[in-house]
Amino acid sequence: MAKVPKTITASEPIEEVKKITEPIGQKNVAGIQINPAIEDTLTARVDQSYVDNCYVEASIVKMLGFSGAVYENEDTATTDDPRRFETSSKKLRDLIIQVSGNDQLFGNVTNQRYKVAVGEAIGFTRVDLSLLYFKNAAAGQNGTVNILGVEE
Amino acid sequence: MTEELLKRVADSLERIAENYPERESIRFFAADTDIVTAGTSLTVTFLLNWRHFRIKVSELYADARTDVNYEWFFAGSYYNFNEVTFDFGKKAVEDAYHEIKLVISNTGAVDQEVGYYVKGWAVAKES
Repeated sequence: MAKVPKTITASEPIEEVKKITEPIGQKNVAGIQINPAIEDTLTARVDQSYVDNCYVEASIVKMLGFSGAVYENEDTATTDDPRRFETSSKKLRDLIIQVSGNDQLFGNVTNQRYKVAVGEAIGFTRVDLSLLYFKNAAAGQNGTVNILGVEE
Repeated sequence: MTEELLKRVADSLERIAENYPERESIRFFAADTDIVTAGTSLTVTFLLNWRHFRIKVSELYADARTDVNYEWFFAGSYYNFNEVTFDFGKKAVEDAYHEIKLVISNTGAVDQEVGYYVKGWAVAKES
């Protein structure tokens, strides 16, 4: 310091000196950010923010019931009757279906009219797999259906 | 001509009286030194005894240190420097701003010892 300070005396026009130490990041009397926080503090804030976001995300996931588990299956026709992968409810968030062997028709329990040819694939989201039916497109021509999806 | 000259001299003396310490002025030099811990800010508030003094501040000073920022608040003004000098003195406003605030922020990772002072003059009010 270029100029040596001296102790304040009570008799001077400055009658009192108050001192407050605070972590950086506080706002000053004008409501302005005093200055950028030190790097560690910022990192800690980012980390905390990340943790908070993860917590929120986990909560949302929990509410939506998204497990993230991969579902895969294969079914080859032995008859011309409609068939399905699951007999009880199995909800998938996303799925891809690929047909091999022979063409297959897809639909619901009543009608299967959407044709997927051999080597082709279809994909859609949010379906209860127990409600998806498929069958051979041509009588006697057994085909195979492969499915890969993500469970809710 | 003489009257005009006298008036100019009188005006000049009045300005000098306003802007410079008088014979009976009290020169004050309020200073201290503190260690500002890394990652913290130290707010120093100088309360002015404006009820008993007419106060003029001539200098606000704090040691310049690495990774340390300074903010002075005085008479409704804000100075983002470690050192502020008023050649003719700056009058302390006798209202809500009857204080001088210094915020020393240490953004570094090392504690810093910072000396600071407020310098000026004051004239005692007649009671």
